[in-house]
Amino acid sequence: MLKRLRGLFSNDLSIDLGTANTLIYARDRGIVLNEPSVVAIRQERGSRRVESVGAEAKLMLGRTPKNIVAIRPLKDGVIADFHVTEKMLQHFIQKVHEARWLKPSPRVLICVPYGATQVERRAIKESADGAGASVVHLIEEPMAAAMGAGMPVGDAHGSMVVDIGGGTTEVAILSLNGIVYSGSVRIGGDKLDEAIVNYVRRNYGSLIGEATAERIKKEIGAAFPLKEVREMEVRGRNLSEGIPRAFTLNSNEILEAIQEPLAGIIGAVKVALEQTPPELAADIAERGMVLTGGGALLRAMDQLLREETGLPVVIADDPLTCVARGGGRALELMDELGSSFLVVD
Amino acid sequence: MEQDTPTSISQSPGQILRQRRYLVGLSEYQVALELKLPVEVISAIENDDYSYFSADLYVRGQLLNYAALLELASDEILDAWHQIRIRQQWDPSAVVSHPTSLPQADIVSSNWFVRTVSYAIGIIAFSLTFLWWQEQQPWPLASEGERLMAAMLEQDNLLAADKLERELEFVGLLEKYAMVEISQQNLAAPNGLQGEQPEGAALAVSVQSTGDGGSTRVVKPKQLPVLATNIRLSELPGSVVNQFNSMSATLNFDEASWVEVVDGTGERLMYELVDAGNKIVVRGYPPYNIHLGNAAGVTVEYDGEIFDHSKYIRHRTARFQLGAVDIVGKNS
Repeated sequence: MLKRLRGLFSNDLSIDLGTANTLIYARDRGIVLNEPSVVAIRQERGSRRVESVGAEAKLMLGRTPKNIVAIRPLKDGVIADFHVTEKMLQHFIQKVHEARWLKPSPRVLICVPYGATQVERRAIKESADGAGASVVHLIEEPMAAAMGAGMPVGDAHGSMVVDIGGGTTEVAILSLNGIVYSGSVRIGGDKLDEAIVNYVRRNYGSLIGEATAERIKKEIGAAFPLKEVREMEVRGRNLSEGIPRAFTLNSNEILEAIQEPLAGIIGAVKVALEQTPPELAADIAERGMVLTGGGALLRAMDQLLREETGLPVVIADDPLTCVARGGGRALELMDELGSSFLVVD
Repeated sequence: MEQDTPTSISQSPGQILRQRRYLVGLSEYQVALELKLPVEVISAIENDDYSYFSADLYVRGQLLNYAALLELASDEILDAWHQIRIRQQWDPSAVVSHPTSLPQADIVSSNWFVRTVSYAIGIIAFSLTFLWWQEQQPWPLASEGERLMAAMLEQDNLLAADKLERELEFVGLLEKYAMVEISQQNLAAPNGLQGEQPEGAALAVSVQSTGDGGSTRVVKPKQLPVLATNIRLSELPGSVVNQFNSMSATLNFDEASWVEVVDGTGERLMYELVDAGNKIVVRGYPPYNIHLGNAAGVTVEYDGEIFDHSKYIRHRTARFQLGAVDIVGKNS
């Protein structure tokens, strides 16, 4: 009851609880938070205390003393550590309402991977509830991504969206405000980073951290061979000598390194196309597919999919925030068309 | 490699792309092959006809893809496209030429404007009608008291009206017009102590001759409100007068007795000797503190009922109070 009362003084929030980043869209305010989904925990005499959350905690990844551990509470798009996720959400909700004297208790819409099990969905819902949300709704990520990208999901035409996130890649065929087919593979940006770490260890005998791997991916990574070859100097610990060594990587090497996870993503897209009803497949062949999520920012990702599928591919405007923005749009539609609209249990 | 001429901004995206394609030496077919689009669509894009695409998202994406293929700056193409969009929004002919290319948001925006203006006109018309009607139609009076208030308003007695409005309850009225009325059955004038009445009561005494052998004395409290000077008891509604009468105390003198009556405000209303056979009706602010010199010779009535004061008799005198609990309800 008190939560509902406090809810009157809080903004409606749409939360993209991603493996890599958490984004919050506040109604009438837009994207108000975009921070890494990382929590630093201090352990003292058996008790655990949150040291920092978000960007500050991400800086600690791999650089913490014994008593502090920086963890990512979400793995493969779902909650790996319930308690820490709850604390992280609580911190973020408080942060977007920081000017308020009343403890916020907003109505929250959380985007969940299509492939999330009932147990995983319940865990997400309960952690948001524990973080102070007055009402928690769930929406499937592909639907939110498509709405955020501005796709005409309400039309009686097929639309295809590929959302490449940090932990999962969601592929969905949408029509008439519903999901006709959706597939989810647990391959995303994290797997690309992991592949780069393994490549460097295998070919250079050096160990680099996840943060370095992510930086390499963003700066010189490409999903398709390009005319321009970029290079980058990297420092890692040489495994045989045990001392830090510097070496240079180029974009062709990274392309080679990430072939395996990329093949997984292409496979998921092809499976979706195979499963699409013929009428909708014709629409998709005409319109093509839309890329959203952080993975869409990998250079030539659209070109790779275009070449592999033979279909037109476009990248959504601001692909990182599509899911959160789509959630915000869904909140507005829920008010117009009822709370059961687009929302899943 | 990138084209960055000042005139390029004024060109449409199709013109920019076509010029660039010629420079690079690509055919429409080659572009179509790269972008996985039909050749006709490439031609349509170069003619700024985006009807093939169902949403802005696809137009924007394919323009960027085409620009990237020709190694053009994405900002240049997007700026040119936004200019086209703005022109389409304000130029009806542009909409007619490519009806399906008009984004849905524009249609909604136009409807929104018309709807808002309609609502505003409706609200203004309603407000004006309401104000006119309010001036034509005075509000009906709800009660006698309010009618009296309206009459007083007409006499520009705004102060009085304001007070009366706040005191429409009977109790309020009673307090405003409280008085003591002494009716005497006989011609005999008040004797003895009359000349020694306290200043407050003496000031308020007036005697009216009835011409039939009796006399009526009306005693008003000395702190009578200014408002009350304009109001007569006979002008009050009948129901109010009835209730007013029910609050009176009646003293029947079977034997001569001196009597003192002090009302609820502490004002002494009577302090005199009354002969046998007289009847005195006391009207004022309850509760009444009554002191009788020959208590056994006096019968007391309050609120239409006989009040037994024998238990208060001490050495022939009796001191008691009437109407202590609730001046509207039953006496103590």
